[in-house]
Amino acid sequence: MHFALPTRGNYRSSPFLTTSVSRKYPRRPLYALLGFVAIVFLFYRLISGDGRPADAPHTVMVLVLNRTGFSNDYINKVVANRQEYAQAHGYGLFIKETTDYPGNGASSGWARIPAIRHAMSTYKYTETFWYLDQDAIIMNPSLSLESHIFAELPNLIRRDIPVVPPDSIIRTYRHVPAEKVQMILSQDKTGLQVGSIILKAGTWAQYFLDAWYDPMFRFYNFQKGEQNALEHIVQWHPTILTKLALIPQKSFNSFSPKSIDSEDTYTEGDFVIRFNGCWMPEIDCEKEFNEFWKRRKTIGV
Amino acid sequence: MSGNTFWAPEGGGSRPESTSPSPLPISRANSPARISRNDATASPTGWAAPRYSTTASANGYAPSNTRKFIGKHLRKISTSLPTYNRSAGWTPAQNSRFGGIFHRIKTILFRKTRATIVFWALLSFCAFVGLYVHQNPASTWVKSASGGSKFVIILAANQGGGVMTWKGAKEWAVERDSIANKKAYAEKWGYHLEIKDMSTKKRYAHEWRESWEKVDVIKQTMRQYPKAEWFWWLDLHTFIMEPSISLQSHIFNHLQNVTYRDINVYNPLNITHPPSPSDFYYLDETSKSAVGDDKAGSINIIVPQDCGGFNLGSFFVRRSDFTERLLDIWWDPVGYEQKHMEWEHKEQDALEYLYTNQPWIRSGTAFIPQRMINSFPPGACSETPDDPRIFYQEADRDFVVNMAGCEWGRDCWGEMASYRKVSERLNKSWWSRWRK
Repeated sequence: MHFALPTRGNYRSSPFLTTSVSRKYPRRPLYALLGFVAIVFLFYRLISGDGRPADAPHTVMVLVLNRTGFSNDYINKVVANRQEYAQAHGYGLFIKETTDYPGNGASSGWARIPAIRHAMSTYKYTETFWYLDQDAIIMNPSLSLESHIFAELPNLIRRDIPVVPPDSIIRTYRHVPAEKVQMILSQDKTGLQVGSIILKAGTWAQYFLDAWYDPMFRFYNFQKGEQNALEHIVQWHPTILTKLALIPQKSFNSFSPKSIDSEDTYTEGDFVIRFNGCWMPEIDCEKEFNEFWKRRKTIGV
Repeated sequence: MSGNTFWAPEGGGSRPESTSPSPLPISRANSPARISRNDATASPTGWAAPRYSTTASANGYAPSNTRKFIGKHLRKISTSLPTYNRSAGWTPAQNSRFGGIFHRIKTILFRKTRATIVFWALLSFCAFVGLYVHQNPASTWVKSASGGSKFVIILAANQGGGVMTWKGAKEWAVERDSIANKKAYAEKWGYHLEIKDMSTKKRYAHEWRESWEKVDVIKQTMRQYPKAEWFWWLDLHTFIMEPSISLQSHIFNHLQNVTYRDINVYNPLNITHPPSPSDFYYLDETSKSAVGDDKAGSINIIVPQDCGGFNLGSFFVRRSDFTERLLDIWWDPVGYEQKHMEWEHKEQDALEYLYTNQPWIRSGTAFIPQRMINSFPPGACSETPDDPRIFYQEADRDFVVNMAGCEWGRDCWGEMASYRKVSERLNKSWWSRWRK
């Protein structure tokens, strides 16, 4: 008759004592402990950040020097110009030689690709990389990339234009938002310009650079080597075209009057001047360079 | 207190007076009490004190003949259960018609008689068998909802059919068997199955591009199933030998342990890995490492290797940015134009080439021992007939057989039929064993 009953002598089985008293109190220290752990964790996150050193630059400029055929004076001026600009804006400067990246015998223009990847692995915490050819002078160093290009990007992007002028059937997308852009380029009269490239670091950049540097393209006998290879992958691969912004050449890649294929010729006040076609013997590159070198603005450091 | 007990049918003391002779809720269903209660709800003046003031009556159990002592004891035990106000949400207005019915059903179902317990046990057993053990549309739905719909099996049917070959009776039979096998497997585990017709139809600018379609078909399937995560490519000449093993339990629940990132574990192509430090010193640390970042989350393509290198007869890709890029660059026309004569294994050679030459691909690629998803029959890989890593072993119950290359001088139909028989024998249910 008594088999279903709880033992009477044990008062712990009484409902009123156990439910109302003993349930509440032991939990309070637990909450306190959990709260404490959470606060410590948040504080730790706050002070540690993502491991980024305080002096890591947000932007790094990449310069690949090709000394063959150029005087030391010319090279020194180029380096001094970049140093001055990088220092003024707190950018990093990554200088290498074309001979550092032989690329199994590909022409020296291809060296820019592993150089950018090298800069990205060297400056792990840097978001933006600007590759600028050595045949260029930063004429207006007071302009920073942030204010002159990144902030203006939504207005600068040229939408729905042929990727390769004048009549490529592949056109840039109409609706790619500026935040999704990973690479900024410009065009000259005949095609994409590889002398001035802005790239955001990340897995996309690795993919893009590796695909561009593929040996099959390097040795395909494209007429203009790396430039044609770039035009090819941009036009054939939507994963690349969606991340690309084409902006006016004037923004960061104006050509000198003697340059070939110029779309936007340099006028006073432009950010950068480039002497495209330096490799051609009939253009005396250094002479024109020195003319403009005198006209460049400087900023006091 | 008494109004809050476990099976209290109504909200405690403030009940309209019941005119039913018996307070048991079940008997009230046929009594005129309901009508009078509805009237009472309408006018607040109708609320009266409960008829019974004892605990027992408020619980709905009068000391009647049906519950002599067990009922009493159960009630006492219930008072020591944790109490909470089950009827807090019930206002008198809600508690009119439907509330009453639900309450009554609840009351019946939560009684703790032996019959109810047996009923619940039987019901849960039937539900378990019906939803998890037996195979029916409901169980397929349950499995699909609990993760199966993340997987899509892409089966390439009719490869090169139409123009290049004319199908005979055996080819039809092979195709029928292979499709039935995948269909049953996909239904069992709630996976999607997409059968893709790979026949030659002059869809592309270059005639041989047809046979490079794999990439295009995967892209297309990814668009068709926007919520799926993993896509399993299977050639037609494959057979799933162990349909009772799910992909989750076989591979994806412990992806990190069943795959390997360092190709040097088994490297028939002799690919230099990691990329040689003297040539590729400019790469980042992850690309230079032999195992990438070594996290399961960065695995985007899972490839088995046979004696001759990568084998794309049975492989997995995951939907991700990485895969989108890979599929995009894989289909590059320059590679196709230059190499389609030389790369006789088509996109397989192309992938090997890309893996070798574009370092970013290595950090998203994982390999899987061949016999996990792609065992060979003795006829394939005749160069290495004794390699234990390649060929199907009945004793180990390998998951999938791929009769690779059977169309080149071997008997596809014979191989497929014999493996089907092996699979049927191995997976016989205890019932059919016992019946013999």
